[in-house]
Amino acid sequence: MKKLRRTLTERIAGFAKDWSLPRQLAGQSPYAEAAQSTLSKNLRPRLEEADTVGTSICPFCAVGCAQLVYAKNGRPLHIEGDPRSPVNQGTLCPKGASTLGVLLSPQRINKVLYRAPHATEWDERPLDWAMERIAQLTKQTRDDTFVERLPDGRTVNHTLGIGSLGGATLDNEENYLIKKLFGGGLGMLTIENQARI
Amino acid sequence: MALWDLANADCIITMGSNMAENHPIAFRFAVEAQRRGATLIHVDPRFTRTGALCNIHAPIRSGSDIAFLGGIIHQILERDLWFRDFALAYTNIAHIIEDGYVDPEDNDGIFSGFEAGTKAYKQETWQYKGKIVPSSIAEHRVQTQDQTQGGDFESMTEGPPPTDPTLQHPNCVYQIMKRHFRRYTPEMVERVTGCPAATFLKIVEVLAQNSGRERTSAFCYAVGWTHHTYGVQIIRAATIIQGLLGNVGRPGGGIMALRGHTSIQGSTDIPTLYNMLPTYLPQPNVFHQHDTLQDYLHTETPTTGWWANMPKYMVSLLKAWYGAEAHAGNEWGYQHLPKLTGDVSQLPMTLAMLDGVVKGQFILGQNPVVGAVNSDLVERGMARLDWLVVRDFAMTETANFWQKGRLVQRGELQPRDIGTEIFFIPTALAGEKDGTVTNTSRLVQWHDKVLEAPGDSRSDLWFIYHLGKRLKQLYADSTEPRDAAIQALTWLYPERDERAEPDPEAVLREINGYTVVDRKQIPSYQQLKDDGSTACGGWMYCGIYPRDGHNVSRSRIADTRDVAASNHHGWAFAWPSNRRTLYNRASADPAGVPWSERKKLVWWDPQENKWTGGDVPDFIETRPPDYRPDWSKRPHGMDAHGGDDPFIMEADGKCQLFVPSGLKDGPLPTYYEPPETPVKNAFYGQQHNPVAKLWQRKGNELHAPEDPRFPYVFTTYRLTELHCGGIIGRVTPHTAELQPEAFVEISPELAAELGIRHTEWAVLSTLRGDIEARAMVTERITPFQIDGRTVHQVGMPWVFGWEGYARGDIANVLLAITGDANTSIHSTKALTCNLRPGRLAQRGGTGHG
Amino acid sequence: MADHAQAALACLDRALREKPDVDGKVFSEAAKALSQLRNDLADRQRRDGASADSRRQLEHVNAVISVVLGAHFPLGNIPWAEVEKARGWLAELSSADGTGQLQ
Repeated sequence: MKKLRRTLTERIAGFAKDWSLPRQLAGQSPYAEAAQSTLSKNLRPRLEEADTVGTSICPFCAVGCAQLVYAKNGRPLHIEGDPRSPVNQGTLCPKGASTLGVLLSPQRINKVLYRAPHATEWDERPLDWAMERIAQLTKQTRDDTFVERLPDGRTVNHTLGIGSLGGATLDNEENYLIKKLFGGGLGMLTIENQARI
Repeated sequence: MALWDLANADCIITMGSNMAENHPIAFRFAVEAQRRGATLIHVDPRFTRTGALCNIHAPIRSGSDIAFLGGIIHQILERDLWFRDFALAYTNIAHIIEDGYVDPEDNDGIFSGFEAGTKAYKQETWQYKGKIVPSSIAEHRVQTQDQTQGGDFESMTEGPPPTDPTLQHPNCVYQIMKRHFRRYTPEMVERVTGCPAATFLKIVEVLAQNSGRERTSAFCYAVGWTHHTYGVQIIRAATIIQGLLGNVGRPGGGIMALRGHTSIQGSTDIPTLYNMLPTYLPQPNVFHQHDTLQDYLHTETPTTGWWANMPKYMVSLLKAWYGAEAHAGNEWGYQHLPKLTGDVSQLPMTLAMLDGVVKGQFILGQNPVVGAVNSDLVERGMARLDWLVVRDFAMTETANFWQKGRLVQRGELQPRDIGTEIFFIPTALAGEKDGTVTNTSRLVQWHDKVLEAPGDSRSDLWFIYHLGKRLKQLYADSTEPRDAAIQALTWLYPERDERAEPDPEAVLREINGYTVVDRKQIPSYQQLKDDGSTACGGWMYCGIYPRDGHNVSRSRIADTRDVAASNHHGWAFAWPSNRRTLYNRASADPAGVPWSERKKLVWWDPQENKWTGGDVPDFIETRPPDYRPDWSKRPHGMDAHGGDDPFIMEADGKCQLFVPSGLKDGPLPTYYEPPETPVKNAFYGQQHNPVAKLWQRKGNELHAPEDPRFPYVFTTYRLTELHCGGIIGRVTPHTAELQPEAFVEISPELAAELGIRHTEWAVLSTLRGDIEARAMVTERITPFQIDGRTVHQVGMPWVFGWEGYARGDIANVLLAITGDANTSIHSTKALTCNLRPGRLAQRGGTGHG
Repeated sequence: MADHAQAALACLDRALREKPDVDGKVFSEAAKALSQLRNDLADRQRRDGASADSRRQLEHVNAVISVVLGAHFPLGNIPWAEVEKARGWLAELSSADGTGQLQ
């Protein structure tokens, strides 16, 4: 019969052999292999499983810490500070370190929700439907509220009937097109973001 | 200054910011400076982790900052602590101001030019004698209607402003400042701020000892300085200190604004703001002389200094937006731009919503029900809208106010009463989209798309691009002139994948700018033209994409040398021109020689006949230090600046200690109490900023000064673990668990007085609303002795709401909508409230709740 | 509709008479009345179809709103001269009321 369990002596001997403390007490460097157990030796970083890595910038405050985003099969695997960055040198604060948790939040919503006037519940709607409805509403409200000229002839080409709020959490390219379309295209003036507050 | 440059400072004063907790990674550089011997100082009402890590903590009552900073200026002037060689050469300290100027010192707290009827200032008496000085900041010009119009700026080309280098002239800036700050004595600082005079004087010593030729000091601030009705003037006070001490444009010197969102700087530069066009060009205003492009340029373009180039930037922007439809025959499409009639920033917009003026609203990654003051009014406004589009990645209080909001909870409104049509459109997050963001020190960094956003989540670029495409289609057949702008708008961006995500690099290339005829990228804004041959979406960003295939914001080469010598020019792109320190010509003396070996940055190389050094020189590269304008030729633009005038954006090249144009509330910072305060203004009869924006109306009533019903100073702040008003930290399990619910911080003394026990409930109330929170009784908060009596302060994080895992009452319910005189920024740092133990009646408590 | 126009006109008359220095609540009231007038005009136009007149009326009301907002939240001084003009535009529109246009 094959022996399934080690004897107590064998277990103690095995543990003593693998235990890193005696080696370190004996003077071997605690920063080198002396500190390594079999368990820790066999541990592998999950980053090794990643098939993609890219640079990102932390989405929270304006310090601009660089991050490395690791992915496997299109799913986020790990996010950590980019050690190359002169801003954060690989570090992240508690918020930045939670970025993976943000992406994977159980409360994330991936569908368009619609609340009709006076309705008591949200409904799911197709994205395409919502985009068309929003475009139609934008046009209608703009047309109802637009002033091309003041009655004395001065050109203003504006509407005060539509507002836009937000931008400080978005990219420069996004802000540029928001201002270009809403301001330069539709004549909206009330375009604002968190920089004001 | 760059964040890492803080490590070069010999003294850092953090004030109006809890940097260690709210910008922890940036605070590493302060700690590094300390390790090298710098003294760190925290001036703040609370003893936070920032204070704990600093060498000196100075407690001051919320809102009393100008008394403290004015006190420093007073000491610098009275004790001759200033860096004379620097300030005399590079600031307007010797400039002579108009004879009619009257200081608040002689007028009980009000400057000359005040018109009681309109509660606004006229600025004629603040000018340099015989001149009309244009503000270097477009925003200032837009917001100051009665500023003398352009054309008069020609006076700047006739000769230099009059000065008295001996500083004896009674109306020179030095003498005016000496009089102005006369009463900001250490005793007065203690009486008004509550900071012991000995602590205050120690800070003055440390700051002065660590400024000058060999040493530099920096200030760091955040919204603790801006969120007041006089926020701009607090920052101005720091500017005066740094100008006097020579801590500008030099390694380790400056004023570091610690901003709160990943691209809040970018969204200011390329603004989703009402009063500016991309990179600080003023939005036209129908009540100004802006009828035609020519009028607009004539009115807005300063005659002298770098801003004289403005027409090139404006015409290039119009070419970028309207393409072939922008030509010399139609003023380059200028009339397509909407013209302002007034202030339509966020707070007026909220009030306009209540009045029914706004009918449709987009909210793009912002959560005003939590993050904006007077939360109940925000809800009421949104309930009046026809439609509301909210883009976020998890449910926000703003999207869900109609179902779970305070008005519905209290039974004032039912969902069926609310006619607003609401869309929640899910967004892609960082890692799921690519593009650039600009950090707090102007560093523009690209981020990659690594992941596919789940489900219907899309980037905001996708949303705005496809909305634009649909609208262009809807307006395609119109023959109305009013629809010409949307028809003319250039909107061709390559679609990349099956989701038709537009390519952000194509947008960045347009922001950078290109030549129209062959669509070649332009390497620098010096090459932009006002003849329609160049197109550029944001002149200050020009150089970020200087040629095909070269996106500088993607560059990731950091210097590996000693941090002190590093500016990391190979890491991303800093506007303008990849320059890391603005006004760095000031790091050399007037002759072009570094002030000291220890603090050298940029200097004149007489062999090569050009400016050189460790940063991209912020100066005309080949202009020698001894260049002088030839005033007989009426010089314009940079020809009117000498080789020793480092402040190239200012009309006369000098740092403005005294601001002759552009500020609505005075050329010098002056102490006023906040609109709500438990005490009288000890400095002047004028109690609060006379031009502050106070929009009192039903639901937005203010507490009168010393109102006994609201005896406590109330302040709000953020937490390390949760991000502003956003839902992001509250739906993330790790961070929500670290800060699971709202609390109010109360001193042990006040808690004992009111019978409030640690971790038990307390109710806070103002005329705007009542909320409850658990009491955090802590010595981090201490009572102040103000003018001989005890003033208690309480504080609360404003980051909670009813959605997510981490929940609590919304602190902003308590706050009133008020606006800074210059910026219309709201006040969140110094108000008054009442406090009692227990719970709100609607939640089972007793009492008036 | 005529009621809203009259209410707004009364507000503007009061504003011009009293010249409140900051945040005249009167401008808020005027904006409310004008917004309702604007909504009614827009609804009628959608219901009955647009005409040159209906479009002109709608644009004039919107123009008055723009000026009132600029007076309520001024950049610099309150533009009283502009308010005076806007009052005139509104009065003109209201007198057109006699012909049934604002009924």
